Amino acid sequence: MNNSYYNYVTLTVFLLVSCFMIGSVEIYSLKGFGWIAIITGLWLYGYIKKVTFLKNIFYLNIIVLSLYGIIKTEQSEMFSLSIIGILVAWDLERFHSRLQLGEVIRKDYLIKRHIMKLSLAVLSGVALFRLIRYFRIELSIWFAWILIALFIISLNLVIKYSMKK
Amino acid sequence: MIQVLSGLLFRNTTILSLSFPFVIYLLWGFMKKPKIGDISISRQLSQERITVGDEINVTISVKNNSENLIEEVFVKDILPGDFDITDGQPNIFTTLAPQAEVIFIYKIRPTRGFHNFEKVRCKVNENFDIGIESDHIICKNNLLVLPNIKKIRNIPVQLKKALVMPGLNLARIGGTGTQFFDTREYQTGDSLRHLNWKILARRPESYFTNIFEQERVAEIALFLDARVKCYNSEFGIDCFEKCVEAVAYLSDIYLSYGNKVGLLIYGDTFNWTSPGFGKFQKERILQSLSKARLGKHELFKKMDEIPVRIFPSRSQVIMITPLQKKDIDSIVRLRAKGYELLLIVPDVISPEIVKYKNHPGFDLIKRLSKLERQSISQELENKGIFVIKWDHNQTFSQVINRNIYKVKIWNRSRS
Repeated sequence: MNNSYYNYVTLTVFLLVSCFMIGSVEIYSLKGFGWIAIITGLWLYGYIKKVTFLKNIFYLNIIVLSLYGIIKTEQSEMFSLSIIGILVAWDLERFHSRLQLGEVIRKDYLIKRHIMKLSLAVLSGVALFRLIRYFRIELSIWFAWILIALFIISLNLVIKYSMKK
Repeated sequence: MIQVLSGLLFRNTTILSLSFPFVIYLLWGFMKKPKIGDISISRQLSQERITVGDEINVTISVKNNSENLIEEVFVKDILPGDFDITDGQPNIFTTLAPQAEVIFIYKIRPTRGFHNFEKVRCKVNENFDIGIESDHIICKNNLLVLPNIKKIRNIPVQLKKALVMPGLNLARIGGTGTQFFDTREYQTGDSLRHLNWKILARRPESYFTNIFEQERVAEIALFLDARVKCYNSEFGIDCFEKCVEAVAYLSDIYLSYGNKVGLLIYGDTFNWTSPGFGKFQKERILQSLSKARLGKHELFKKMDEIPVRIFPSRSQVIMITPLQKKDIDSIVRLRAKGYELLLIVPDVISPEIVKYKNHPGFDLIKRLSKLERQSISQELENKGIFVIKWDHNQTFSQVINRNIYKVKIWNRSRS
């Protein structure tokens, strides 16, 4: 199999840059271009100096800014795209770092399977997102609070379960 | 999490529904979490007893015992020391089909010592690295790396007290042997083949017989100084390794001549290998040497703490130590107790001084250090202790070849 076809590194960088482009264009309209430039600079510094927590700050910032954009503007499609892009970039970047850990046996199969699963997860998620957008469900305030409570309880259970393991 | 909370708080269905790709991604990860118990790992070493400089192959096999695919497996062999990895890598990243086995081999060049390979780190996860299980799997292997032994010239032994067993060292006692020792008047029972015909020709009225020098086994104690303060320089570790090799050479040569050899390593612990003969003793000494490490202990700060009674009385003691001024008294005290001491003193300071080559006082520093070493060895030689200086750029065999005539003269002067 041609490895260049699955060049996850190029793909990661491409996605990061595209996220940055989308984010910056969007945030420019929200007058947040300077902030995006700072966090991208931090990400680049972290990438060169191998400071891992800086890239997480970058991802988090992009998500927060995109959410801010969704709430404040009407361009929800563009911001949603950048959030999903961040998920893909984050996953590929982690996968790439795992491939650097040592000698990789059955590399092609690993890459192929990973990209296939990631595409499935993202596409099914996007399909659900589109479906809910299509039906335009409205949340009442009480229902939203019940959902928050349920979310916190389930999160607590998940953390407990993972700590036990 | 941020998305779900902000979506619910702002009652924004766009944000809430945007969390679906993330939720699916995370749930998929948690649900497909593999179990580390399904994996078995074993390690095999191509050899378990080697000498310094040799390479060994480490083979690690990883097997999936379950009927499920393990999507990602990361295996890292934890090496017990700082070894050179000459080929391959001690860690792999792969995927394991049901009942499949992956074998990987890497080559290492281990350092001297007794190494316990104990654990292999294993991490299994699904493709998204969300459901992770990791553990250290025990795979025990032992590796003994002995110091290298090269053949060198025999260093003559100063025999003050020879053992009764026949050996190869001239004992300066008349009797049966191969080398001429003396003549004495013929006594009843002397072999006629040993009559000295030249004396008989000169004095026909009396008969004289030749006496030969007896060859006996000697008792030799080797002493290796492993106190960290003695090797306290950048080149100290290299120097210590050279000293260990030198002790290995000496033990090999003396044991091959049939002598009784013991070894004392004096560092953070008191490591005494009691004297013995033959190949078994050689193995014991080499094993002790392979475990020798530089160390520090308040009790062994000075050489005063050497329990002299463990050395065979009046035996030859060969000490390999980068001498310090404080040790002179202790060494002289050993000599006073009747031991024949031969000191081999490696130079630890000179390579350190070379670093200051551009310093204006370089010549003075060099001269002072040389003078200090000279004065110490002169003081010891005055007390009847023979000192061989070992320059840092010389090999041990070169040192022995250069100084062998001195040792012979020293032995002759005492006999």
